[in-house]
Amino acid sequence: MSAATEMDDKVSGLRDHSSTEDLSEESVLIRDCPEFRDVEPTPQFEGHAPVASIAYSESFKDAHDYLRSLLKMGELSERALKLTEIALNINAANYTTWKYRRDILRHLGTNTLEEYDYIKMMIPDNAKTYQVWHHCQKILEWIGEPMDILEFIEEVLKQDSKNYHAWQLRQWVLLHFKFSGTAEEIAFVSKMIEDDVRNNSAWNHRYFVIHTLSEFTDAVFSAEIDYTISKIKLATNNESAWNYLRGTLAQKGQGLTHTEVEKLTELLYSRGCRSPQVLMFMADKLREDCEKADASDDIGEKVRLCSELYEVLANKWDKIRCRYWTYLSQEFSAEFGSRIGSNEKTEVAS
Amino acid sequence: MANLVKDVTISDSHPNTLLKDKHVNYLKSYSDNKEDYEYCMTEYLRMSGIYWGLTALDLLNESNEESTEAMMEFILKCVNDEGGISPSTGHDPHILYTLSAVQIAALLKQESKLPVQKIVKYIQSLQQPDGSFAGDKWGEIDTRFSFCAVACLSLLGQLDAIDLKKALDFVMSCLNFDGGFGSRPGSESHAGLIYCCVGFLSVTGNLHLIDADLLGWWLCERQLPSGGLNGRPEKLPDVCYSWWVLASLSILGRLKWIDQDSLTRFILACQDTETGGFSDRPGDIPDPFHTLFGVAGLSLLGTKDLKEVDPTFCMPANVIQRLGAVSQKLPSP
Repeated sequence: MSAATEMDDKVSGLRDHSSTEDLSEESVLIRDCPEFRDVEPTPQFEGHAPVASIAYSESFKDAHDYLRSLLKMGELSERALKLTEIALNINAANYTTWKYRRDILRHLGTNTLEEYDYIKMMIPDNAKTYQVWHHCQKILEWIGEPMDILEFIEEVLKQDSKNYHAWQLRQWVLLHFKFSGTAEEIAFVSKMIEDDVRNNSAWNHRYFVIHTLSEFTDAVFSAEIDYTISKIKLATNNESAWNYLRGTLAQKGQGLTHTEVEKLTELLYSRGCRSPQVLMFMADKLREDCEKADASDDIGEKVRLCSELYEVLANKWDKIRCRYWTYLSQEFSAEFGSRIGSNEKTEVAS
Repeated sequence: MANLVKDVTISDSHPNTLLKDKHVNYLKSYSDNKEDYEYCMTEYLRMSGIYWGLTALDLLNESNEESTEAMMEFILKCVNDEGGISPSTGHDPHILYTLSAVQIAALLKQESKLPVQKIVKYIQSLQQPDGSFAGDKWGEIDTRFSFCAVACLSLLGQLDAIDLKKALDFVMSCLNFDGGFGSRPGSESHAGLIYCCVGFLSVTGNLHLIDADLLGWWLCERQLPSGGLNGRPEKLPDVCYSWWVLASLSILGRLKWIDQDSLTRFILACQDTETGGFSDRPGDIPDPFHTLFGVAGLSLLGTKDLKEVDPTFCMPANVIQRLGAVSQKLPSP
C-alpha cells in the first residue's frame, strides 16, 4: 500500500547500503558464467541509454537483468535457483525473488531441510525483512516439523528482543505444530522478561501463552497476578506490566478489584511513588467503585480522591498527556461531582 | 530504579518551520535519478514509492498533472492477468501495490481507466475462509492486507464484493488485551497495525466496536518527552509511527489528547534542511516514505499551507470526498 507498506521493516532496502556494496567485489558476474551463456539479459529500463555504471550497481544490475529473463521464460532450474540466491544476497526484501525461489523449489523437489538451513542463514542479516520470515514459515510448513526453530528464534531475539516477525513466527509455530505443555514456553518468556522487564513483546507473548495455549484456571490467575506484582515493583511505571495486569484482571471479569493489587498500589503510594501508571490505576479503581456504588452510598471521599489524582496527573506527573487527564476529570466530575461530601478535606498527591 | 526513556533530543539547531519548496524539489527530483542506487534497490516497491511521492506533492499543493499519462501507462503495464498489480513491471502482483496503484489513479482522477472488475476479482481471490486476506498468492496473512482490501474496494466503489462480515470478524480477532491490534490473533499491538485495523473499521463503518477510550489511551502513551510518537512501548519515536498513531487518534476523535505542539516540533525537526524531505528521526537520511508521513502528519495537526489529509486513506480529503468513499470518524468525546 500505501500507508502500511513497510511497518517495522520500513524501507529496509534503503537502509542497508554498506553490507550490499561490498558484494560487487566478491561475486562473479552472471554474464561471465558459462551456464548462463544462452540467456539474453533483460535490462530494467528498456529504451534508456545506460548511464556509466557505478561500482556497486554492477552486480546488482547483472543479477537482476538475468533474473528478469529467467522469470519471463518461467524457467524452473538449478541455475535459476542459484541466481535467486545471488539476487537475494543483494536484496532480501524483493518478494518476487522469494516467490520465484519457492516456485523453483517446488518444481525441483529440492531437499527442504537444506532450504531450512539456507533460510536460517539468511535471517540474521535480514531480520527486519518480513519476506525472510515468511519464507521460513513456508519451508516449515513443507517440512511438517518444527525442527529447531524455537531455539533459532530465541537466538534471533537475543539480538533484537522485540523483533515483531520473530515473535509472530514463534506463535505460529506453537499453534501450527500444536505444542502441548506450556511450562517450557512460560520459562522461556519469563527469562525474556527477566532480561528486560519492559519488553512489551515478551509480555504480549506471555499473555498469548497463558490464554491461547493453556487453560486459564484460578491457580494460573493467582500466579500471574503475583508474578506481575513482583515485576511492577521492579519498575513502577512499566506500561507493559500494568497493561498485562489489567488484561489479566479483565479476563476474570471482576473489574479492577483485587486485594493483592490494592495492597501493591497502597504500598507504592505510601512510599512516595508517584509514577503515572500507579496513580492512573488508583484513579481507575476509585472510578470503578463510584460507578458500582448505589445512589444512596456515600462515595464523597472516593470522588474527591479520584478527582485529585486526575488533577495531579494532568498538572504534575504526566503533563504531556494533560489533555487526556483533563478530559477524564471533566467527564468524571460531570457524572459524580455532585456527590462529593460537604466539608471533608483530604490531601492526595502533591 | 532509573527509568531511562528511549527518546531523542530536539535542539534549536533543528528546523522549526515547514521547508515546503525544498520538499517539492526533493520529491520531484527523486525519480529523475533512475540509475541511482536507491532507486534501483527500491524497484520492488516502486508503486508505493510513486504513491508516497505524488500524495506528498499533492498535500503540498503541487500539481501532479503533467505526469498523469505516463503514470497511468505504467500502472496499466503492471496489471497482471489475474487483476493484481505489481510494484513494477516484471514483478509479482501484491495487494499492497494494488492499493497504491488505485490510490495513484484516484489522485489523478483516472480511476475510470483502471480494469476495475479485474482488480475486484483479484482482491476477492485473496480472502481466506476465516475472513482474513493474504497479501498475494503465497499467502502471508496480516491485518494490513485486510485494510488494503477494503480501502481499495472502497475507492473503487465495490466494498460489497467481499465477505465483509468475515473480514470484520478476523480484524476483531486481532484485538488485544491492551486495546490495540496486531497483525494476527495474538500478535503484539503495534501502531502501524492499529492504524490498519482502525482504518478497516473506519472504511466499513464499524468504529463502534472499538473501546475508543482504552485504545485512545494506548495511543496517547506513545508520545515521548521529545513530542514524537513511537509504535510500541520502549521504542524510539519515528515520523511514520507518529502518522499512524496520529491518524488513528484522529479517526477515533481523540487527536486532542496528545500534545500537538511538541509533536509538530518533532516532525519539523525531521526535515533535511539541505536536500528537503523528512527522515524517521532528526538528523537521519530522508526518504519519500517518511516525507509523505511527515507532510500528512503536519496536515492533520493543522499546519498552514497544506491540503487537508484524510486520516483513513492517507490521501487528500478532497479526493475521498469526490469519490464518495466512506471514511467514518468518531465524534470527539
